Amino acid sequence: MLLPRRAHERGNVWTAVLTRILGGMTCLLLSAQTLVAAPVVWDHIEDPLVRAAQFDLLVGEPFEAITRLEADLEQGRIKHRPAQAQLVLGSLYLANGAHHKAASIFETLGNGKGSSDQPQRVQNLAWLSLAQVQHQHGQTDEALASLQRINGELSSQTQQERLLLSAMLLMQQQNFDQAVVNLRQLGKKSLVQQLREKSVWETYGRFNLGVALFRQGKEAEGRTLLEKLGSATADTEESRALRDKANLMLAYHHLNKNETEKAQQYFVKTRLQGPMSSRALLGLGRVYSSRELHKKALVPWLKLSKMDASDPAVQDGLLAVPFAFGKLEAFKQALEYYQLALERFKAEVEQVRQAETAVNSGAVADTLARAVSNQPAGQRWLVQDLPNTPGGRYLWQLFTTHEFQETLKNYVQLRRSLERLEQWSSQIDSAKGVEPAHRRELEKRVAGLQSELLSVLERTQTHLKVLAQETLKRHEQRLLGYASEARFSMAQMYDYASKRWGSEQ
Amino acid sequence: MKKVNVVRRGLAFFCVTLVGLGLLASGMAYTVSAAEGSAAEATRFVQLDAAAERVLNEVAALGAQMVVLEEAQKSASHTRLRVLVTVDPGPFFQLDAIQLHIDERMVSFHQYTETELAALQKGGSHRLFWGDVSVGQHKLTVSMMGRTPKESDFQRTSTLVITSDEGRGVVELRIAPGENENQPFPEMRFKEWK
Repeated sequence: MLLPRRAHERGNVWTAVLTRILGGMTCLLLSAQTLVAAPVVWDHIEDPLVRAAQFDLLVGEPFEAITRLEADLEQGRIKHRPAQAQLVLGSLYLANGAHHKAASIFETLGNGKGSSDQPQRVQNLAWLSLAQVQHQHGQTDEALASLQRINGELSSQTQQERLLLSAMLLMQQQNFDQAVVNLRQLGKKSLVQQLREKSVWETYGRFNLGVALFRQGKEAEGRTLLEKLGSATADTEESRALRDKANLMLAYHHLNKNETEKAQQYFVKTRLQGPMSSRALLGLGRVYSSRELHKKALVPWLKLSKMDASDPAVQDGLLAVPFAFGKLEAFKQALEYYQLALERFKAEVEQVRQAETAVNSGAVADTLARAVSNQPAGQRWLVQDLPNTPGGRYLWQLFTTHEFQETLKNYVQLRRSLERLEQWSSQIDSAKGVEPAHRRELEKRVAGLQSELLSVLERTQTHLKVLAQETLKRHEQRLLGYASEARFSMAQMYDYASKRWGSEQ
Repeated sequence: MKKVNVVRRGLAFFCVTLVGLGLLASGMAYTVSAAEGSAAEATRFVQLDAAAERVLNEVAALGAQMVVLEEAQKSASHTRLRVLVTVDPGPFFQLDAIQLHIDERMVSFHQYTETELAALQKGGSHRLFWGDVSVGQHKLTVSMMGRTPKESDFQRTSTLVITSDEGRGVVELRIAPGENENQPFPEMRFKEWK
């Protein structure tokens, strides 16, 4: 399921740099990476102290704003519409990742407890943002429930976001029928309107509808949608990547049904420079190969074999080249290319093992956490340059998953909290005129929190490690399997050659 | 015969990898199958995430206590004064910077970034000054710098005399934009919040 990024966003964690490193591949990694929820901004906030908290929210400093606003509330300083302070607190907690707390505050919306003065438009945006954050935190049911709270007319973009997000959540629940209903609504607007808005949401919606229809068994309808998408003009890199994805999906669909001519039509439509190029080259070679056109198959496969060998399609290509030479009875070349493949697999295994060492030592998590922490406020989670982590090429796909990103955010915040506790501990020690009982109570709270934080921090770090280790292990096993395959094929060829030419002598 | 075996093995292997690629290419199929296989992992993530949220919320609560503690450190003969800037949205004035003097002493100069200006436009208020002043009468002098369509280097100064007592002192400086292109100059208004 694909979702676009909002136009105003500069990208989620790692996307910018991954785009640079991988030549735009991240545009199509959005199956896991969705929107960053926009801060929830409330209308007509009266008390200036509450408006100051809203300012902090908008410039990306939610933690400081929470502590100040909570202190102001506790001290009774919010004298004008204190219910509005609660709403802003909800926004601040949401921006800080505390979606459970935010959800409990947003529950008061429209229930007549002083916050129903917010326009429905603003309330709807709050529910949508909450749903996005809940989705990022793996809370599918809760996210759907939040979307259900949206009432009345929505602006065009908000409506598209809502439909696309709810369709994705439904598909995660395997509810393809309802997802299709949502996605069909996305296409209800007139073509003139769609063109005027140049909405990438529509494009994603059409793609996802095509996929959902395939899953429903409505192949013909799904195919028609994807064909239109695959032939559409595209003026942005994101749209072009999506067009490639549609063509590639159709190509593999036909290839799996052994309809090689149709498959070829779609493979050649996929760009050679785009993120789908390696898979297109692999598939195109497969089309020729299945027609016994092995010389022609070598053209895309040789091109593919020169690409980055951390890409699974390239790894397949490295074995496909000698396979084609073997079919052409060019055994010398076949052996040479098996040898070449073996060397590249060995080199890649070495890279993966170096990455494993770095992951096990905690260096990868630390490097990533430092990179995130060094970002300016407001762009904290928009890392522009991927830190030079060993084996990063094998981990980028993991880095773009919600689970990894949210765990990393927690890890960074927990570390920062430990530093804060150290600082507060000193402040408590040096504070003057504090009642001894109050001082003891504060010291006790700091000590208790330090212990709790350390425990959660350790578990979080372990979780990051496990995620990376599992990913690297899968890559390593795949590469080792491919290396064995290359060795076995070489041995068979030597055996065959010795018998054939040996007997001729 | 042996040659056939070599090729057959290669082909079998190749077809297996293509199945994987086909799933990958289909996008959603890949995502769904991955989701199905990792329900336990998802639960593990959700539980850990909830534990992190809980402890981070407790840290925020303690942070609020620390703010209260810090404020309680001020001398009884002082009051905590907060000067906040609010900007009403308008197309004819672009704020650049604000300078604040209290009793002829410059206590704040702030040059606004694009992000901060956007935050002001969306209804946020900027903390220009957040500190202690002695109880009694004080003169606040605010200079505002910015641009209008008619004047690229617009500056205006305004003064307010306040009498601070113990407790909260909040002064809001509201910048209201000019009404039209002929009257583009913004106005500064003070409001003391009690």
